[in-house]
Order: sequence, then C-alpha cells, then structure tokens
Amino acid sequence: MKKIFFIPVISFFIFSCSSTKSFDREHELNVFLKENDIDTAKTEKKYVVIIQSNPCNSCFLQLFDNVKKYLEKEYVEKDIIFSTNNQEIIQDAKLLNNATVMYDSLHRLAPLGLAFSNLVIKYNKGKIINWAEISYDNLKYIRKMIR
Amino acid sequence: MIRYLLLLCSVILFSCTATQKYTEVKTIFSIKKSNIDTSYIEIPEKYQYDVFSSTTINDTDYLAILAIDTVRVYNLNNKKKVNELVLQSEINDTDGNYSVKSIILNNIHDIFTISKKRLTRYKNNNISTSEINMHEDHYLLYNLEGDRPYFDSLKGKIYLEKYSTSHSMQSAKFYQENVLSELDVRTQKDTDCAITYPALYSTNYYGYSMHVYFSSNDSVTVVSFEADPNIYLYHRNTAQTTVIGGRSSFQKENITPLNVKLASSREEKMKHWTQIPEYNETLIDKSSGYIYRFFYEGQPLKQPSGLYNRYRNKEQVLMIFNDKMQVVSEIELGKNVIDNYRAFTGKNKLYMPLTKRGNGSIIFKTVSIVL
Repeated sequence: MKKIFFIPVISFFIFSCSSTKSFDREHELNVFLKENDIDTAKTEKKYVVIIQSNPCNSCFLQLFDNVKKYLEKEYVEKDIIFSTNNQEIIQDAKLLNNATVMYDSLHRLAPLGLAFSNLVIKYNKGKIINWAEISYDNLKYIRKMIR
Repeated sequence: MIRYLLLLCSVILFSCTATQKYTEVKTIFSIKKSNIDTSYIEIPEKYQYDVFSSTTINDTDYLAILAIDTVRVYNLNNKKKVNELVLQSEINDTDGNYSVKSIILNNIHDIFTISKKRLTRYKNNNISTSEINMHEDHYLLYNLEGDRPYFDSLKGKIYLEKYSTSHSMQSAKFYQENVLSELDVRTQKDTDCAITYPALYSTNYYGYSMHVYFSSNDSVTVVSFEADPNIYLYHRNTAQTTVIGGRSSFQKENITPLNVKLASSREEKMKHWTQIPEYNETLIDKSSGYIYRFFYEGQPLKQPSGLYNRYRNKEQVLMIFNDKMQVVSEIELGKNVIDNYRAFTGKNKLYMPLTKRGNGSIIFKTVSIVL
C-alpha cells in the first residue's frame, strides 16, 4: 500500500525537478542556429544569448554587464548573437571565456519572433531547459539559472 | 447617527477616488471625392534626422534638421539649403543634460535648441542661453516620439511634451500627470497645461502603446494618444480641451489592453504592440486647419507562412480631417512605406518622408488638398 502511494509522489518530484521551461519559439530558433552552424546538441550545457536591443543605451549596458559577470563564472560554450555591429560591444563580449560572437547583419532573427528579444537561453543536448528575458527584474533568476 | 456618518464618509471617499469616465466621441465621416494632389520632392540630405522642425514663411515651407552638431535649414520650394548653424556648447556634453533633444525653427535665422536643462536661442548672430527653471524635479520636458515642440511667438512660450519620472509606466498615476508644459522664453520657467492622458489609460494598461503626439497651430495644440481614437484639441488661450472623434473606418479590432503583470517583459509588450491597431502622429496644417492622422491597422502575431509579423508590417492609413473635424478622406499607404515619425505639415500640404531613401537624399511624398 505504502509503495503504491509513494511511487507517484516520488515520480512527481523527479518530474518537477527535471522539468524544463518551454520557449514558444524553440523550433524557429533551432532552425536559425543550425543554419548558422551553432551546435547546441553536443554538450550538456550551453548558453545562447540574444541581444536585439540597442546595447549602446547606458542603462542596458549596465544590465548586460551583470549578465556577462554571471556567464564569466561558467566555463561552458556561449554563443552571443547581436543585432548591432558596434565593435566595442562585440569585442568586449568576445573576451568572455569560451564565447563565440555573431552579428545578425541581415536581421534574420526578426521574422522568427525575436525582433526585440534580449534573452539568455540554456541548452542541454539540443533542448532548451531554461530561459529568461534580460531585465533588472530577472537578474536574480538569471544568476540562479547560470550555474 | 453613526450610520449616517458612515454613509457620508463612504460618499466622500467614493467621490474622491472615482476617476473620470472615458467616452469615445462619435467620428463624423464626410467622405467626398476630394481633390487630393500627391507629388514627390527630394532634398540633398544624407543624414537620417530624428530631431527636426518645420515652418512656413511667406508661403514657403522650410525644414530644419539636427545632424549631430549642426542644424541645417532647407527651403522645400526650391530644395536648397538656406542656413547651416554649428551648435556651440550643447554638444560637448558627457552626462546628457545638455545634448539637444529638440529644435524649433522660428525663422531661417532664429532657431531654438532645447536640452534636458538648457534653452538656447540662435537669433541672427546672437546666441542667448539659459538654464531651464523647472518648477519641480519629477519630470522631464522630453519628447519620447515625434519631436514637435512649438513656439508661440505672441505669448513668448514654448510648448513641450512633459514626461513624468516619479511614477512607473505601469502605475495609473503616471497617466494622471499633465502631458504638456509651457516654457516661458524670458523667464525659463515652465507651467503645466491642463491636459492629461484620457481616463482610458488610468483603468487599462497599454504597454508600449502609450506615446503621446502633439502638433500646434496659432491657438490650438492637437494631442493624440496611441490607444485612443479620440483627438484632443487643447485651446491654449482658454486652457480648455475639446474632444473630437477620430476613429478610422479601417479599425477592425479593438485596441486591447495588456495585462499589467506583463509590464516588466519587453517581449510581451512588443508582442502586444505588434498586434494592436494604433493612432499615431496627428498633425495640424497651420494654414488650412486640416488635420492629418496616421493610423496603423492591427495584425496577427504570425503570417500564414508561419513567420512572425514585425511591428513595421502594420498597414498604414492616412486620415484627413477638414476644419469642421470631419473625416474627408482615408488613404491606404501600404506597409512601412512612409516614415510618419518624421512627417510634418507645410502650407496646405503634408510632407511624408519615404522609408526608402534616395541616393544621398531624402524623398518626401507630399499630399495637398485642393480647397
């Protein structure tokens, strides 16, 4: 009797711990990444960062600096995709360990529903397991997510 | 006795908290086969301007644009540059307090520049500059979109958008603040004009669809809010506001509010803004009293192909109101063809820059009504 009761409870806990936060544009993003030779499937942990807002805005730069600090602590692959060609910002992002920086010069992310997105996306073997919008409200969440 | 007191208190409390109710005014259509002339003009300007001002002097239309540290003035009748003014102190500014946010072309050789803290007038060869004496410190005289401050030369006052910094944009209080301020050129003191967001914004949250658009003639400042079909005419001499109906016949969907819980999400706000219909720049023709209004139709989040629509994919419509405030024409402009944020009026004419620029030039589509 006890066993019958505990099995669903334990299963629920295991399921809730391993559940992922779904991202509505996962399919579109994966197609884009594949087309640009960004492989998310080979590693257990990888971050894709999308910055579509104007990062020259001082308020946003400060916010992004915080995210970079969190990412710096993780020695895993990071792909950062900018919609700006601001070399100062791009070169600065390249200094992050294990980071590859891409400039989406043709704004190909826009018709995929990512025209104004600033996101940190966590991948596990090709699947999105967590993601967050980069905002001051979400900084704590992003810090917890990146570890 | 206690019961009466309680009832009295409740009535007082209710009357204090009750907000003004929003009513949409009926739009009057008087669509006739209007005589509308369209043509194109091109000026040799490479710079994509954001800050600009226009005026009409002796039947000639002029446009002034700010290009980094220079104000260039064009005669739009002969398409020639007639003045070039290199700005002085405002540009060398590190904290943003003195970078120029607005310019006003009062005459070819009489130009105001306005920064967060400073008003400067370049008149003939004289420069007079002074700090703006703001009456409180919880707001900015700053144009979020559509930079259209107006200089009322009879009153000696400049009319500017007022933008509250003391309340967040998801708070109803933000929308109860005055949105227009008059700045006295002699004293540099500013005073609030009695016009706020409509009550619609106090009860609903519209995310990014909270822009206010201004345009003025000698006595009236036309005020328009993105989520509101109504048009507000603020009569500056009496400080009274008249409301007219301004709904487009192309508005098929309601302008739905956004759940305020999503206010911190840029993604959700953009999704919402991309889909809803909106009323954009609303410009008064100073000579005829006609009003030109840009309306953006709503659109679904995705196209039939599965690709996502972008904000700029919205269909644009130009509404034209006569001096009796009746809609006399609605013209479909297509998608992303016209840059209405940089449009302006001249003498019996609307100048609409094309989003597609010429080779080192700006091309304007013009619309004139044959009165």
